[in-house]
Amino acid sequence: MYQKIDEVKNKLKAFSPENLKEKLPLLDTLLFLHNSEIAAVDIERAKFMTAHLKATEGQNIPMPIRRAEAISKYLSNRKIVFYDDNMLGGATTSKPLGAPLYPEFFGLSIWPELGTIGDRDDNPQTLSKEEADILNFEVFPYWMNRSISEEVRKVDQSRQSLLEKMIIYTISKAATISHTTPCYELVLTKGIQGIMAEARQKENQNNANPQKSVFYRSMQIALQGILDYASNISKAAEKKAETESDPERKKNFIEIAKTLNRVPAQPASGYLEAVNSLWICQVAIFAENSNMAINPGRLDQILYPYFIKEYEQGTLTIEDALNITGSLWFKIADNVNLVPQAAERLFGGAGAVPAITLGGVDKDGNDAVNELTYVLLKITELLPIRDPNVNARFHPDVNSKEYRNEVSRVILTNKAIPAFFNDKENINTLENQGESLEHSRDYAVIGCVELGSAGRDYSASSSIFMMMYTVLYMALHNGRTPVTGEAPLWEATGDPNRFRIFDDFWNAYKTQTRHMAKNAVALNNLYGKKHQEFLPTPLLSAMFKGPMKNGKDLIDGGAVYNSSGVTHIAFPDVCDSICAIKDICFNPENTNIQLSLPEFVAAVDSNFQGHDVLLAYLKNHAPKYGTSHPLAKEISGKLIKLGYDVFNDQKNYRGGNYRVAYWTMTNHAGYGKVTGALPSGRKANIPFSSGITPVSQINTQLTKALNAVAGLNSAHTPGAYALNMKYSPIQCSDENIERFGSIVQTYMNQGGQQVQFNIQDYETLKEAKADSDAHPHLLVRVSGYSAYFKSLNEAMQDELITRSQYNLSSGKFIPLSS
Amino acid sequence: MDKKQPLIFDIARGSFEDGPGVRTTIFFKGCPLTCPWCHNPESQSYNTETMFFPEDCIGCKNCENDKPCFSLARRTVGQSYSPDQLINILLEDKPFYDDSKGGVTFSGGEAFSFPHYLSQVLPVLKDYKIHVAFQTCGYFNFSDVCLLLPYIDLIYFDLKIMDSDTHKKWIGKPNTLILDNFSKLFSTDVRILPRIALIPGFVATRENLDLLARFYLLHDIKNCEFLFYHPGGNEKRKRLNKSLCKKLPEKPLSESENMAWIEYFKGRIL
Repeated sequence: MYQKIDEVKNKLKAFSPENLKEKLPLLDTLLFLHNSEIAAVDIERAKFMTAHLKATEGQNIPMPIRRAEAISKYLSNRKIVFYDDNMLGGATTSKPLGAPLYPEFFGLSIWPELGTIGDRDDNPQTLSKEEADILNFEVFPYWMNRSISEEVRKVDQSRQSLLEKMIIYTISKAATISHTTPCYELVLTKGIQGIMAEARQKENQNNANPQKSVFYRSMQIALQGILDYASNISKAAEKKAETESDPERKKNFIEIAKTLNRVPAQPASGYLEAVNSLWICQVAIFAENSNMAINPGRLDQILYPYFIKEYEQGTLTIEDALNITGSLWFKIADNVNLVPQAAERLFGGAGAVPAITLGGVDKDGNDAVNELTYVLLKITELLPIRDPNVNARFHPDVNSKEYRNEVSRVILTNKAIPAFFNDKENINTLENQGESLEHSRDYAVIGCVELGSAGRDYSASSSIFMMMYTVLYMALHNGRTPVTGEAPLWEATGDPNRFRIFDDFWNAYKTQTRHMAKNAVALNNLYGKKHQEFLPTPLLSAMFKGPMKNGKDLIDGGAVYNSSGVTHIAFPDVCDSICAIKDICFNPENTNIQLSLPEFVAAVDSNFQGHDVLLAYLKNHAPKYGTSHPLAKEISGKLIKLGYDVFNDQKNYRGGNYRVAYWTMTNHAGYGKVTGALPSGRKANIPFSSGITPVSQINTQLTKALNAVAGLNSAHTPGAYALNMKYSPIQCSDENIERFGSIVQTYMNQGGQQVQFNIQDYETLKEAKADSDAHPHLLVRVSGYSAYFKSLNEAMQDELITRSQYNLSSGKFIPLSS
Repeated sequence: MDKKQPLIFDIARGSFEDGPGVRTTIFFKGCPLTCPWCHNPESQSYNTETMFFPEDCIGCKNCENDKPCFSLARRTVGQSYSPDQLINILLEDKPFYDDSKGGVTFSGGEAFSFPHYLSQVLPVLKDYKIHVAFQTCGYFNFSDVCLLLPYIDLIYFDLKIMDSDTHKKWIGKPNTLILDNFSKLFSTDVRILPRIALIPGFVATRENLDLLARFYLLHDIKNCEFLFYHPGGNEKRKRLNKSLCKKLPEKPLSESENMAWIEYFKGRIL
């Protein structure tokens, strides 16, 4: 297997970020353009969708058909744009860097900002007066009572209003149908025409079943839109070629015209065809569903046959492969999410987080690292851009050390990507979720860090965000929350003076967790039902395993696997808080400090006003997750198990599991900024720790911190987690690469599921905050995805600066000097 | 010193320094020598000491009530661990040693001051096939250490001042025992890696390096490691209320100065 691997690796050595301009001028130019782009709101989809839905209102046409027609209409009528010399045809929006507006989801949230969104300080998104008027008069009025949140509000006003408080739980179905990995192989091997033929046949076979035949019909309607779109690009490129005087450009237009004349309608034959076919499908999905975490998946596996065939035939050089792949990278990065001002504080700076997964094992458990894996790693090294989100799977017993070290080298070079994923733990945890061994081995990373069998698991992995600070607050305040005031939100679990032993408190915490989970699940399932009613997804369903066979849309449970995801914000801070409560209030052996729980809670609620001694104890002596303290080990394990147990009892609206995860995007920073103090000693309005990462600036050592995370039972974290480590910059020498890789390997052997790095020191990040021009394209890992440091909100920048920095050479934690 | 449980002032984990691969380094408290340039002056006394960080004091008066200082303005240096306690800590990072071909390094202070304690720890590490390194100043009782050698893979051996009187003047003891121990150890099977700390005016002088080179030649040593002077220990000396040696420079040598000394020395042993 993979006989050319050494040859390809050798050829790739000639390319480096330093010689990009000379060796790959196309990518160098595209990188420059990418770096200078300002986002623009794109209303084209909203306009077409709204017009069609308005026109067909009240005609008794089944929703799947209506929606498929609307999508198809948009795709067929899209403006065809070529902004640069990218080798691929197709674009997410009509703008060079577009933020598509989805009025059925969050689009309405910018209504009050139509006049200001282009001028705001934080990540402006330009919008012309003319476009604003269309939104104002044609689009938004129609959706005012029809957006998915409004449909939910009509049924469950109270849970919807808790969602809008933002600090209880959040449900991302209000914003998106996404966070899954489509099966692009279907298109590459059958062509869209092949899939349509299958759907036609199925429709005929199911004439007697109106629901199924409508589904198959809607699939064909939506897919026709893709054919029209590709054909329109092909024609436009042909026209461009006629008038283009630059011979290189002319050639490129001719090539695009030729490629899209064949694909995605027909099966792909070569590498360029396969890549462009895949890209057209990705774009088409964004016509149906919002542009969040739709993941291209295991590209080194999906595209391998096309790459190796052409490479061996001699029709594709390594340089060609890099140019084509690089073109795909820039295409994937051509869109961002539409973000209203208020949400900038919580989510600002995120890309659309399409995840690409490399390496790992194949369906039989053998080494899947191939020639193309190294080509894609090289592109990741050459193009340090926000999207796509590149992840490297590594099986410590199967994958080679050379591969491990090459991934390490790329991380040390671009200082951030890719993230490492542990095949051993991740495959086990998915099997434990009921996925077959073969399917578990074919997992792809979703969005930030989540896991799901590629093309089979409709995972909706970002469904629920559990705000753990609020759960703890309620357990300590008899069920009351900072926002609901005097009345207990769902159950009065007793005032702290009623807790005689630690388990009294712990039972209250468990009860509040269960209530929170139950309510979040009820609301999420209601959203799911409303999606089924109003937002069928025939197009995404056509690119998935299961719906064609089952005659059911993905959102009706048509996929092979039907999980939902629930992630947790502020786990490390809450863990330390519970440790402190046990240590200070319920540990008779603690001779240094003893407080009753009510006294402790009062001190916390005063934001430690006049409690310097207590604060000093908490900072320097209390047990902390991320050290080897036995109490911290016990509590972290208990918390993780509780999170798993409460969701394990629940089923989603498609009959699938809730998969528990610990990743936080930028929520931990934004949520931290609006919440009060914690018993851990964290003062009010300070960002929480990210993902599963031990709290910043605790006194520990590298191996202790890694052991603490790796020691958590990964069966309890089937949605995975983000561990964010910061290393002092080091030379990218062979010795350091080996060191870096060996630490990752041991962490994995110990049970760690995921880890990602920022190779940065405090000073550089502080400098970048003080002067955004000092490091204009500084790329950082947030908590599962990459972002440009300068585009992050202040809370998130502060959190990144404060993150503990370790010296890889000495293993020491380097404290941040104030 | 021997039968008493030793004090340990630091356990550095996950370090790629002090030997091959990932290591845990145990720093024992107490050393028979009193090098004025020691960058860990808290390692010299065999007893617990207190370091003062008055800038951290929050006036909690815990110190007056015999309670630990919460703010760490007073930090007690030196903690005792039973052999089992220490072994458990060392084993926590065994997976890291295994993947990186690393292990455990005993440093100090002078680790060989505690042969009885070590005799309870080292065989266990051997059972777990953990690579064991030592850093020694050479001032120890050879007959005690001899019994430990089967459990040791590598010894870093510091040689400092070759003139015994000068040695005694600055470091407190004559160097005869050290040189004697070096020669004896060198004739055993244990791998010895000599080290030279290039302390300006003390070790890094022409006469001293000439003498050191002669000693190396006598033992046919071609390989050694160099350490460089750093005044970082002075900050800690102040925290310990210890006096500073005025003969020591306030700044480290430049890279080129250090390189020049290395070249000088290498020229004499090759």
